[in-house]
Amino acid sequence: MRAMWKGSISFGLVNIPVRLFAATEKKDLKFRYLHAPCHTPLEYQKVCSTCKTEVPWEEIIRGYEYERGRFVVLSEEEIDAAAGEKERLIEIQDFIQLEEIDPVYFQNSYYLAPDGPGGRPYLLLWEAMRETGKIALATVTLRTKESMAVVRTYKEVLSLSTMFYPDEVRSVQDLPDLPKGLEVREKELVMAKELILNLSTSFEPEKYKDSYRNKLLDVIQAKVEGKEIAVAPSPEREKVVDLLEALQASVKKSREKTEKAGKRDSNRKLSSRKEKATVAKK
Amino acid sequence: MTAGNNLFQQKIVPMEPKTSKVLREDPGFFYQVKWDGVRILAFGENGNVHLQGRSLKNKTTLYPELAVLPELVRGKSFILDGEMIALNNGRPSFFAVMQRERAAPGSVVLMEKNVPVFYMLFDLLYLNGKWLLKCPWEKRQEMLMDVLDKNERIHVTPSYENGDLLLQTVRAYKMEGIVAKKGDSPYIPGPRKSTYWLKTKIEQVIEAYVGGISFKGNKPASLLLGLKIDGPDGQTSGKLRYIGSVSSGLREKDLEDWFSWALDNNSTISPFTSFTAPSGRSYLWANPVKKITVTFSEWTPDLKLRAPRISNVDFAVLSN
Repeated sequence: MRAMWKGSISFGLVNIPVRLFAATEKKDLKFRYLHAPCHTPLEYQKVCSTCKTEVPWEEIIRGYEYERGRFVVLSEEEIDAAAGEKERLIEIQDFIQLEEIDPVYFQNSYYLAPDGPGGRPYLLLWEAMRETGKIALATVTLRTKESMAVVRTYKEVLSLSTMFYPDEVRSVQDLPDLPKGLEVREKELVMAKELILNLSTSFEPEKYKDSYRNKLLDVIQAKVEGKEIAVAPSPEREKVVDLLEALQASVKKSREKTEKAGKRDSNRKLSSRKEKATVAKK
Repeated sequence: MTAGNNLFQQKIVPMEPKTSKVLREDPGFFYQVKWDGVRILAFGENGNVHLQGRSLKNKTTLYPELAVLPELVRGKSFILDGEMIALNNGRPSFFAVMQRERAAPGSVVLMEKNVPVFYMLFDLLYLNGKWLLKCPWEKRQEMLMDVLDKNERIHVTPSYENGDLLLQTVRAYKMEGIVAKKGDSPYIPGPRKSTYWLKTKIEQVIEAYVGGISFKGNKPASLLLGLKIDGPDGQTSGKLRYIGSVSSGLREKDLEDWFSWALDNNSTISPFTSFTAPSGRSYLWANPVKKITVTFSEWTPDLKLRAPRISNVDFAVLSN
């Protein structure tokens, strides 16, 4: 795993140097867009419709569209300045119970690993959080955006989950067709509750598989095997045995009579192979 | 060092050879082909396999071919050292094996079919609960050959007594080089390079397409090189993968020749799929119809040529 970020957790007077790793990865299959007649992968060009030219990186700047078609231009420096001094800090503010946070707030999850001398304070924070059953609410700046985040114990490590700000979580007020002024029928409620209890079990995520991805892989696999491809690659025919035997034969040939038969086990072993040497041509 | 309950927790930086310009001819040394591939340590315990790369990265899921190792090794637990290679035109190709290294999660199954790999073993570090690092190399080789039943994909790298003959052969086969290993030496994990192992490299040669010319001021300065890309379906797309630019070995006159050639074969769009132009230079794209022979020392990890050089500069020779 490659660290995405390096910084430290600030917890009271203690500073814990840590490295941040992505906790999850997407396994979705990616398709590329091809030009149908020739199967060439399409490429994207940044083109200016006014100057009728492809635009190189050094001529690209950033603008904010404050009104349709009207832009204020911000330099990279101005954008950076707004981010403030980028202190690489996970600053713990409060300790709370995990149950107090609704999952709708969670954005991305990361693992934290101690960096350099951070091992001891890292373990201390982990143990203290585990024993109190609390989690830490913190602020963190990853890249440029400052986020609210949760630091908690996950298995034997500390994890960090970034969170949406309250104003990024949409209100439920505006949802259409919410049942208002209706009542639940007692009998139906009893039945529904019973059904829930019947289906209650413990969390076993392994039961769930990405069947869409597996089906797609099966289709792709079948096409590859059925040679349903214009030019089938022939790597299967290339064998390293051929190369090994060709090398062996070549060394042997150039040795001529200058040397006695090798006493090395490996030499003998290879030259006494039963398989017929198919010397690679060319 | 003692093995814990779980062998897979062990991290070993593989032993690295020192570079030696001249071949070390010494009766105490044995010689092996230097495989141009990816270093892999294979750990086996209780029928399971764990693969670790040079930088300690876990590569178990990248090479499902090695899952059969416990069936081939006569031992309950083991650590093997070797190089993972893929072939192109019968020769090891770093370019090809990198396709496997970069396989997207979920496409390993496909890549296994399209780019078969071979595991070329050359050392045994641990067997049935015992570390063998201090064992002399010759003894480890013997044990490795005794303990392994090879299959089509998994082989023991042969050793030779005559380094000069092997070097000649390897040169004739246009392979990367050879490694001399001291027969009575222990295994010394890296990253420090050990003089018990000495590698002699042969300059690499490749035929690359010229896809354009870069200019310094208004003078042609270097040729932009690329290889034709095979699509995932094995079809050549006609586009080039950029592998670097070369100016070394080209005289001003040669560059002028290439310049006029590029004008005749001018293309308004870049023939490269991946080429980010460094600023302060201008380019002239050309249709990739002409190849040039380039000598280079090795591939960089991002698949560019290191120290490329043109040895045959005669433009006329290349024209036909």
